[in-house]
Amino acid sequence: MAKTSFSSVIGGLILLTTAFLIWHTFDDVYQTSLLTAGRGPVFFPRIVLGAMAVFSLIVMVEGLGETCEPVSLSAFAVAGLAVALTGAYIFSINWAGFVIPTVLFTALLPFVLGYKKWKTVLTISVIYAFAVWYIFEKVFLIILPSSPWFEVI
Amino acid sequence: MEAFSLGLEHVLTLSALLAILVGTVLGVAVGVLPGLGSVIGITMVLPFTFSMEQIPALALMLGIYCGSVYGGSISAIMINTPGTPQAAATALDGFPMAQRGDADLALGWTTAASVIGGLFSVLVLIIAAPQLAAFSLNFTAIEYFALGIFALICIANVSRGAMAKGLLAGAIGLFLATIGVDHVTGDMRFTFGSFEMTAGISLIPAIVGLFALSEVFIRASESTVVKELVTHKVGFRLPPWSEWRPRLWLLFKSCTIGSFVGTLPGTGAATAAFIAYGEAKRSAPHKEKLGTGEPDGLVAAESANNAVTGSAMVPTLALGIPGDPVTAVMRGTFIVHGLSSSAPPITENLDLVYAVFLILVAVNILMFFVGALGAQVFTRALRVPEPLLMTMVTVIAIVGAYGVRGNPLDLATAFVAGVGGFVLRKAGFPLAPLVIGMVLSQMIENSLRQGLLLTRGSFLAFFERPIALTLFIITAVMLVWPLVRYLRRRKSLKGPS
Repeated sequence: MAKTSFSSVIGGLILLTTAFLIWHTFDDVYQTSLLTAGRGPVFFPRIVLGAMAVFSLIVMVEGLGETCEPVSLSAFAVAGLAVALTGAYIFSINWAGFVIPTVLFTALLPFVLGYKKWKTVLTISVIYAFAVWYIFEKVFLIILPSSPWFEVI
Repeated sequence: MEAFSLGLEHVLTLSALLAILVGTVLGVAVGVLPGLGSVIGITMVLPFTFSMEQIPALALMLGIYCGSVYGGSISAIMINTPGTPQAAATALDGFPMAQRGDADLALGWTTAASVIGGLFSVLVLIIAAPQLAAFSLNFTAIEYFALGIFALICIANVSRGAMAKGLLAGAIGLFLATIGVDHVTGDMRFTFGSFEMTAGISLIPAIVGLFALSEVFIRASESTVVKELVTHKVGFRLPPWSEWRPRLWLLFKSCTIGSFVGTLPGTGAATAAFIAYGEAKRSAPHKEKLGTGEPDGLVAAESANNAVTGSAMVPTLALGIPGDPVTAVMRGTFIVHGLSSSAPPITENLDLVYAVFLILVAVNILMFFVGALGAQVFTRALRVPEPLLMTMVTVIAIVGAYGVRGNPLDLATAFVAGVGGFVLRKAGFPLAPLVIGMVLSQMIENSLRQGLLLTRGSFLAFFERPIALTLFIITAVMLVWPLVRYLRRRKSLKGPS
């Protein structure tokens, strides 16, 4: 896949989403505000969505005429792994608390990004996770999610 | 005068002074590290600001902002890799100077020029912000609507070669901010029955995702090589007065360019640095030597990019309109700390505005000592392996997203924004218009609705007010001009045949 055609695809996807949202603004749920002289809750969004439709169409057409660039699939795989790992980290914070997922995440992400000194990574991950937790919980008094298994962290 | 002494009182507290020191030092460190930059630096300290008082929080962010713009020049000189885009023009003369063994002198030039540029811009801020605020008293909802549209188009328009993408990003930002409760009618919009969505999309988690997380994903996709970068010692040597004297006019011109560019929404320090460098190439005392390690280039680029920092605060403080993502984050933090989201800070919190002036002066003076004493230490930061650094940035950014409201939904927002930002950046979309669109959406919508009430529903009446009409004309020219330029270029290409 190339950058230019990729921008066309993105333009097309935004156009489709915009079309759906414009259609959604005619839903019955928004018809309760007819007394607002046409300037109800979807008055401004409709203008914005109209602009989005025009601009996304331009982006899509512009992208069609551009030249293509080769993209490394392995680099995208690394990015995909980083995205998946970050998503799993964010999801797990909500049920496993802050510290344990952070130790795992800070130990794994550097490997994904190509840093292989595991002793350094493991040491830093433990120290860093506890340091961040301590600073925010104890010094700045920002309550971070806690785990169901340990009382403190 | 009372407001000034109150502002001074705010700044002369231990917590504010400490925040200035920590912010400046951290800012320079963030600036030195290639790719992090001002926005990521500020998003990294966001979680710390939530439990701080208003002025120390602001001092920390302003320190990061000014420090990072200056810090980018250190890596530009030492390793020919600008730490921030703002310092790209500095590398053109800074690195050749370092190569011939004058790295200490190059650091002396850039530090002094940065400090002078920064202080100059504070002066501009002190003079211009009250004037602009006084002028804005003539504004009704119609003028604010025109101004909001103008600011957004400005930001989208500077997305070189990607104007349609910039405009689309701005429109997406406007739309995203409409999700949730309609502040006028109280109706739910685009929540699709989800209770969690009724509060809308929180700005700070969105910024954290769009800038910090997407940066990590972008770097992962580009397989950036970890480099051991600095091998030699770094000193600091100030150039003598005799070297400065012939360059004073250049310094003044570059400061003026930077300050002017800074007040325009969406332009930023990188643009200012290159415009000033271009002007130096045209008119500097040693213009023929530019690009070979000539101090004229350093003076022009560094004084101009630092002169943006203060003046970029002018529209934010005077009109409540942020000119770039950095000031957008600051505006967001103002709101987190209880300031009005609609009224400009200068009309409601004059003491806070004076505190900003004083903090900026302190930060710029402190920057000189931090640069002079700490260049060697900061270049060591370049040795931290990038994967470790990016991992740490991610964790802090996620804490920042969560810390605003302690709401798990904000973590999901940051993640979705991170993935969305990554995809958009890969497709060549600029993200700044999206963020500014989110910030300006409520103001634009409210002023449009109020304006239509004033004109009894006639949009044509918007063009009868001179200030609004002027802004609409400039906006229209900015929209149409790229098309005219394209058609003219096509015509001139076809012409000879």
